[in-house]
Amino acid sequence: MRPPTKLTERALVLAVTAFLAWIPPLVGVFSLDGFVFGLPVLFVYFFVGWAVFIALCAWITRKLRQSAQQPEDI
Amino acid sequence: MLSSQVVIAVSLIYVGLLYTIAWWGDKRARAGRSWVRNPTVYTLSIAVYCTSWTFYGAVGSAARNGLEYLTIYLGPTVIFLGWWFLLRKMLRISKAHRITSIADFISSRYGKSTQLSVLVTFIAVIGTTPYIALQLKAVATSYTVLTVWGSSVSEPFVSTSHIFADSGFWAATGLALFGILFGTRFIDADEHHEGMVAAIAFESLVKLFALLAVGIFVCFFMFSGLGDLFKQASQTPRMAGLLTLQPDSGTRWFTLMALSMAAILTLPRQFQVIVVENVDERHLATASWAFPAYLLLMNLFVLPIALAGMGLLPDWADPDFFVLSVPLSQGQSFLALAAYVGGLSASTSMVIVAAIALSTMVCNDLVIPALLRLKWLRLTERDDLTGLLLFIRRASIVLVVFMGYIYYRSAGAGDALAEIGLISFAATAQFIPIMVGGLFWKGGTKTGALTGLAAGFAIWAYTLLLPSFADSGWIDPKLITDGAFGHPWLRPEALFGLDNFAPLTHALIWSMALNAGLFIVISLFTNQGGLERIQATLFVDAFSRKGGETVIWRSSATIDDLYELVERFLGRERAYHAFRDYGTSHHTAWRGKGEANADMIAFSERLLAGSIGAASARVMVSSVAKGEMVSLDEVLEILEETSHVIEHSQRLEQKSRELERAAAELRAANDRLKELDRLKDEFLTMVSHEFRTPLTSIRSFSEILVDTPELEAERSERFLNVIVRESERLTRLIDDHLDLARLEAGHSDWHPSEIDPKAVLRETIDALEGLFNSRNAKLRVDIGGDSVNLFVDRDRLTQVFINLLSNAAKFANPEQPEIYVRGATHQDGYLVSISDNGAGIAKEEATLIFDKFSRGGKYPDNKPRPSGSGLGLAISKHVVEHCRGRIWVDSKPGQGATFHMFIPVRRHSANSSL
Repeated sequence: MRPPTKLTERALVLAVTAFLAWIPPLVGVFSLDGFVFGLPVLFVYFFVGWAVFIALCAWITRKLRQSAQQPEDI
Repeated sequence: MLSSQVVIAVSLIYVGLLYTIAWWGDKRARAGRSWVRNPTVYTLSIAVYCTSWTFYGAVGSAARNGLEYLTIYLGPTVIFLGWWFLLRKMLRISKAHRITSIADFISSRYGKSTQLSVLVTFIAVIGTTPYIALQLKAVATSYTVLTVWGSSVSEPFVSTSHIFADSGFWAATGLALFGILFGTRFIDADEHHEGMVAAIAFESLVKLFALLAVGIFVCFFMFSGLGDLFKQASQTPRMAGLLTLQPDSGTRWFTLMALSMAAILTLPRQFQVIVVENVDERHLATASWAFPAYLLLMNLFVLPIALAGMGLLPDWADPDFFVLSVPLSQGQSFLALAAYVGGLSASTSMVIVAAIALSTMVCNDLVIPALLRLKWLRLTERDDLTGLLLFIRRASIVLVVFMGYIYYRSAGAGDALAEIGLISFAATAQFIPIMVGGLFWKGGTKTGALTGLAAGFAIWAYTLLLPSFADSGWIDPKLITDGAFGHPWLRPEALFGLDNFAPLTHALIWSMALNAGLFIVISLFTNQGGLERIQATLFVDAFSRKGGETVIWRSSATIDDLYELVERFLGRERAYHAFRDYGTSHHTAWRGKGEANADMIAFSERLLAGSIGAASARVMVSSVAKGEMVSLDEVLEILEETSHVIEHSQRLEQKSRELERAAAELRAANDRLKELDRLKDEFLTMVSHEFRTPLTSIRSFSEILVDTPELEAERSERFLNVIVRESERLTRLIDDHLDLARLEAGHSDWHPSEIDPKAVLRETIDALEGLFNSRNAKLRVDIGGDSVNLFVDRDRLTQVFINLLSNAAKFANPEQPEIYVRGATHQDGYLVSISDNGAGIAKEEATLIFDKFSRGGKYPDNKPRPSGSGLGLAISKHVVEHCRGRIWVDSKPGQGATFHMFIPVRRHSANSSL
């Protein structure tokens, strides 16, 4: 069984969003002096964003694997 | 400072430990109890991406350019987040075609072209050389930093003149030895090196923990937490600048991001661990998030270490080695030693995997095809070639590692680690257009791929490699400043006058533009050969084809011919097992002089492809199955026909599904029609029966009157009265029937208006007072509550009330009739409940009584039923439902019945039909 199109589309959007988030100009937007939680803004932007993308990927991957039950479709 | 004996001893013990792990991993794998085959080890082996460039160099580049170092890890993260689209396809294809290297992959896509695999191998070897040099430099320098730091030497990096005193030389020797021992112990049919993977995974853990240990020490022991460290750093303008984006770094940022995305796909060692060493496609799913998580952890403390180093250490300290020098400066020799081991892990794992990957390519795609061309070697007739294959691979490992060493000794020693690595990245990135393009575009041709790749590589060599040679004095620096032939347009770092970009971006712009451009344009103007077209289809449609392999051999080869051929390359034991397994699973003979079928020849080719590459395997098999290949055009025809047939049958399938659906709908409609027909018959029977009763009595009484003129006046008047009453009943019946027919057909006229149902109900009760009185019915009325306005037809509503009330009067207990009428105003409508104390209605009749002619209530004593048309409730139901209301009955047999009707308030709209 193929996973539903919506799910694979989500996976694609996830990767594209990550790419766009990590290149200029968006990176430049967060290049600010100052601190959040006592850490530099850009540092927090990258590492928190990174962790969030990893968590989303793990979630989508689990869904993809559930919907692709047959091993050859994973 | 640590004594060199301690450092050397620790290095040797560590490498010994690696040998043990690799040996053990191989042993377990051969015993069939591999613990390498799990997603965690797979993920850790992909982490070979983090070399000493990461371990040492990332801190260095963080100290120079701030957070820019992250691009090298964010790129691969993006690729892994999108694993479903690219990596999964590469994996699927490689498994189906037994791909052994990236050269094999690319050449397979373009019709198993030998020229292409040679070019790819060549570029991969040249491109990886600076990268290996980088690792050797890191090992050598880290050793020097560790042993010399703090002594009177002011510059920690010393380049020794004598080759045998150079730690880099010994590192190279050791690594080459390791590669030989575990990469080429035997020629495997599927190129899995489980022992090596085990060692690499272990090394990934070591380097991660080492870097985390240094990071935690820096942040929590030297400073009181990350916040404190950043706060102190932000006091110094130079360091504060690293916390935000560097000015004008946009293009470089983008370049690095693109390069790292390409690198994770095209670096030969990444291809080796991600694709070739993969044993189960499902492991990739885990790695998709686990590998980015590893990268995140690896990079968490890089910037803090860089900032700490900049704040504490003198200016001459090389930021590339802050990971060692910061702990050393705090007197933490043991931590520095641990960090050194981590760095050693990072370097050794890269060199080992790269050497094995490249040696496979050099052997399969460069040397073997060359040897096969030399007819006088009679290679195809030699008995056992496994020894030769092993020798070629071992020699290539030594060659690859020592090419790196030469580059390190000559050109690369001066540069920062990250800059050397980026030269490598840019070289392998040249594979991207033909590789990714070939995965999604069937039109790419071999000629296009060859031209694009060659052009891209030439530009890379001219704009990046040449300047790095010029830096080391190998060639005249004038070439860089003035351009070839003194022409300013040919300056390597400002080609064709493009001089407003950094050298790396500049090189990438030209090489990629030319590479992709030529690939596309030439592909559009050249034709694919037969095999190319087949391979292109197989690659692009990897997921839509079942079975995946095309059999394109029609042979006259005997089974033994094939067996002996495979035996020569795989060795006696492996060939025996492979053929025996094939024979048992396909239920065919696997030895003997019998004719081999096409499937078996394809199987042999795949087996050979696993050890000598697709291009060579093809040549070898054709040497046995001479000239008996089906012509490719013929195959193409078959393929195209097959795909037409498949397409056609798919369309047929769809059509038949549609037909089935239509048939089911028709069947349902037919059933409904039959039911309606039955209902109509029933209805007609009922109508005739209902009409017949009054007619019969009219007729019989009329006959009596006609036949007996002498009847006394009193009796005849009574008879006439019966006739009149029955005629009235007949008329009423016909009226009701017509009314119902109109209601059912939706033809009746409706004159809705705003009315108060309470008032209507009250009027109806008043009008029926005579009826109630005539039956001595006790009537209780309870129409309380607020007024509500309904938008309905007043006459119709009255009709319903009359029906229900007269029914109640009719069916109430004949001895002591009691009727209870309630009206209740609700927020959304008006509810009328009318109860009687009659015999009630059986449960199964509660819905039937609303049907036509069903006069409810079979009386237990079989008393005659009260007369009526039997249409009243049916009409009422129609009217109520027309007003979007509901009518139903509650009853317990013997305790009377309560009819409820509810009509909702309806906001009257313009086209209200009520």
